Amino acid sequence: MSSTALEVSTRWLDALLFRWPTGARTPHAAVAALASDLGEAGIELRVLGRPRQGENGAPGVVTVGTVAFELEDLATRGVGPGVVGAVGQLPGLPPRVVQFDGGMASLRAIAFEQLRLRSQKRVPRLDPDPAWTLVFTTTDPLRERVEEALYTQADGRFGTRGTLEEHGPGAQPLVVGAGAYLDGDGDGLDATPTLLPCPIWAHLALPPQPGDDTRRTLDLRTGVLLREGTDEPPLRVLRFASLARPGLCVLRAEGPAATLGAGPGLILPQGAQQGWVEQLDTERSWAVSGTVDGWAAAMSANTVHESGPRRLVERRVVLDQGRDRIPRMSDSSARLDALADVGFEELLAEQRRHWAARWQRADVTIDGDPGLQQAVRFALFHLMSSVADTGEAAVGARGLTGPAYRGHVFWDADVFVLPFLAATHPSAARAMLAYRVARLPAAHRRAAGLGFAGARFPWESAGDGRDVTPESFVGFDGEVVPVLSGRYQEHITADVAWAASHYLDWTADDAFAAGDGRQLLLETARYWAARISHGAEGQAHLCGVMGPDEYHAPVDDNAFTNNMARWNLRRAAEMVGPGDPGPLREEAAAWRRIADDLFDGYDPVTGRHVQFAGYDDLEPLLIGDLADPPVAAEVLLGRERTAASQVIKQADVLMLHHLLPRDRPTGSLARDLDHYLPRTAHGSSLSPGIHAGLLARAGRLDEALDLLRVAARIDLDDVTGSAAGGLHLAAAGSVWQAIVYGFLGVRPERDGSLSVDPHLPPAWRALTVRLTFRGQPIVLLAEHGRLRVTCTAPFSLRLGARRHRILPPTTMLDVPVAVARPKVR
Amino acid sequence: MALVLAAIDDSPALTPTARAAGAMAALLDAELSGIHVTEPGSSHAGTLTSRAGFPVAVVSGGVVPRLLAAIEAPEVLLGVIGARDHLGPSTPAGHVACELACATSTPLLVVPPGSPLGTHGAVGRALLPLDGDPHTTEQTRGLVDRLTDAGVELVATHVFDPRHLPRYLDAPGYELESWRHEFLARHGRPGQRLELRSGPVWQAVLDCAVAEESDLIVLGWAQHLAPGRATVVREALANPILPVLLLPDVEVTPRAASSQQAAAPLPDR
Repeated sequence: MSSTALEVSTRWLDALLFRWPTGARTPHAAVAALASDLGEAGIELRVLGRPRQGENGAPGVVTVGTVAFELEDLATRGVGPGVVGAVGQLPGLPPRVVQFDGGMASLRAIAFEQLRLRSQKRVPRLDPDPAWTLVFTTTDPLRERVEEALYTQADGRFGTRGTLEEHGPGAQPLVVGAGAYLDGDGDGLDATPTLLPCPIWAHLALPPQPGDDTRRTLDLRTGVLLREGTDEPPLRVLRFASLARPGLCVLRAEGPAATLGAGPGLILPQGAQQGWVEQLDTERSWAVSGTVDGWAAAMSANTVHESGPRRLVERRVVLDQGRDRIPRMSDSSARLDALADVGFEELLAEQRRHWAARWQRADVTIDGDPGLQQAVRFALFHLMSSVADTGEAAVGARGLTGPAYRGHVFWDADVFVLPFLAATHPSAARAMLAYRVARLPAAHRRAAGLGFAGARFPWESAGDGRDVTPESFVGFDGEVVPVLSGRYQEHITADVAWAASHYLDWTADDAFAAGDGRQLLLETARYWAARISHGAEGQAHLCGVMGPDEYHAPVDDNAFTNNMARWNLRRAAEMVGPGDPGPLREEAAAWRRIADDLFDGYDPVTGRHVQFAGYDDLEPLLIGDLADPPVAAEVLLGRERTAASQVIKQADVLMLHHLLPRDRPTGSLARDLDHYLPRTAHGSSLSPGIHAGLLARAGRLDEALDLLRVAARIDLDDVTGSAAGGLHLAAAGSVWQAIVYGFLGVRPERDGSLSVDPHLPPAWRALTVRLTFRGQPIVLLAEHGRLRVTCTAPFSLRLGARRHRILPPTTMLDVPVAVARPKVR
Repeated sequence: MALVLAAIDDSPALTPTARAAGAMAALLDAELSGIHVTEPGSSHAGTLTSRAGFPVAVVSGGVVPRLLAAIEAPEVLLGVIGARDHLGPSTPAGHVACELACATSTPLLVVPPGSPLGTHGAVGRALLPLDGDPHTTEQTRGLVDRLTDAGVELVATHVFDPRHLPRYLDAPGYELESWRHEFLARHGRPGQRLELRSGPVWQAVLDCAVAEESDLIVLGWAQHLAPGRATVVREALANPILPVLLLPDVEVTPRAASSQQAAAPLPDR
């Protein structure tokens, strides 16, 4: 349906499509001038239709595209159809594009209105595409902190929770920086380091707003959060953490002049041990918070304008942190000065472009399941937001979305988060590995302290690489519960090695393979070689460990730990070549022998793995007889009975199938699924997603889809009751892995090929995944019965047993349609 | 002036009920009076007043209807009644206390004859079981706030029972820390302590109250004592020691949608 320019004169548009009028004499120079003016204001003008001879080539005017091409191109800049206006008769416009009648005069009127909105410094609108936005139309004060976490905006370095700007009832505003910690002070959990809170920058002076008067939209496509009220004039606030300029946050607000104020601009975080706020001049303020362990600082620049009944506030904030020094005010001041000539629209446009570029390499599209589609993008958005792509990236269990888990780095980072980044934004995965590499000396000390060679990584890591796993916590009934993970979950050492190897499988990063990556693999292998002991029968064992199933510890010969250690030894041995020194070659040979000797838990008689020595002798409980999973079984049964039963917390043997699928005996996935899934409580949020992927590989698609939905909604539905403390990044990573490694059956192979083995649920019409494989972007579009591969350079792809040479730009392959196994209840 | 009204009778419950009522009146800065329902001429107000230590009105008629009429008066902030008329181990509360509790829209403190509160007459700590339902929280908030303001330590407790278990405890220490923090943010008050328990709710609540050396238990409830419902209230009323402050389900804002998971409403309370 078309509209006149007048009818939608106040609609915010970021791009205009203009149909070059046929038969009319349109002054080309006028269009070019208009394009120039619009471009300066951040509005793109795309002119379609063939111009008359002699009129082509005017600066600033594109004259060749089709509607579909232009919209697709705009999307690559983060401009969705909902903020595009089309002037003139243009065929094939999607419904969300705003259509206008008329020709040049209409274009002029619309352009004038758009420029007027910009000159008034009004708050932009967003494309309300439900596949790309999360919209909350009411504020339930009890959910406020959950929504703050869901709305977190981060740039990989700093994260800002989506707290309402007036910090209303129940607000828990928090800004944190990655990798900066304050030492612990106390007992139990309090003895461990915690993330350093930064000054709060997004506060505005506002009276409390009625709860049902607030609508918040998180635009996943562009990383922008918009808040809208219904007063007249309405309160509207748009803000973002600049992905283009990490450490820069931008806010623009408009609202009634009588109630909206900029406020102090910066305030100290709750519980700041030391800190101060200085008003430097009428616009700028400076805040510092921290202790001798670490300092965070922010400089804010506020500008305030009046426009009729409206007040408009624009704020730019630069964030900084220092481990043992206070960040220099002059540095922050210079960063703000450097932005003096960069307009808000330009900052917003580059934010859109950067996010669009990330999505171009990472998006997952599920055709046929809009609810899941939105949840998947939500997961990917926070995965991308939480990890820096330069330097070191310390990725805590809750990323930059909240204080829970105190920012500690677990295997969640290496095994659950890193694969997504290795396959979509390798520089971020490399930064995660840089964090581990920089803590190799601490891992050496830990191993040496235990009397072993090599490097043993800590179960929980923070700033300096020491193990910061707490000794105990207060459980139910006030009971002080010892934490065994730090002592027994040694598999973290192999997990770090696996992450390094997995990164190499995706990237073939030669420099890393020859340098830091090799060092990681060799040092971790050295640890295992020292740690593993030989029994009298000549077989090698790992005794006194804890696998991913934390209900049972310590145990001997945990299949996961043993096989990961074995893999670590063999993978490291592969890194040693004829050119290496003789002692290292001998060491590698010893690693191979130890790996060959190590008990792997596989029972050829039953065709399945035994989780650990003695597991089959435990009380044979099935979780379905006790409760509907997911459920924290230790609360249901008590810790002692759980430990004495076969009920397990999460994928353990099955995690092995997930991480090392090529190493497992043929047929063992189905048998291990049949055996362990009925015993799995999914008492960890890491569990459903991993099982979804494995079930998909096994052809149990209904069950796979059920668990994928569970994993994808963990935070959106606050299933844990603790999402307020931060989002479950590992669960988000498991969602991507379930889809890509499970349903699409993708694996990067060591021989340089990419394996694909699609298993699409019947309800999905198509699944599209964007990846970066060995430096080149690849798009895999799977439909029932066929696979379309788009690439920029030839590469080798394995589909089932066949190897295909994929040629750019697009190759179509037939896919045998898998027969889904019926759901097992 | 707000009033604490104690239902007094000539039984072993008289003294503990009167003392508990006195303690509550002092805490709530309320006047204190009593009521005794009897057959005409069978008791004397003066005798009961003397024994109770505060004025006791003697009225005649049906016990429960007359008590209910008195306790429903707008100035009555709290009713106090003995749980039963005899000392002894755990036995169900008497029918008068139960019928009054089910009928009144006024908070009611039910005092067992063996209550220490009835002996020492001071409330320092109370246990506040919360099921995580915003409705229950709102139900308890008004009087609990007054008690808190009066210096009573309200220890919150939440019980994970087999029907309402947490789904995930990734790293239990951190997860419970985060869960506690959020639970108190939703349902608690600044500085409040939360004790987590697991198992059958009524047993866990009573055990927690004893372990915490609580002077009374505060329970919001839906005022249904039919079999199969209100297990916690019935068991709490049967305990021989601890007074139970029952907060009826009236004048509460509509239910919010965001019960904290694993803490869903307990239908049998």
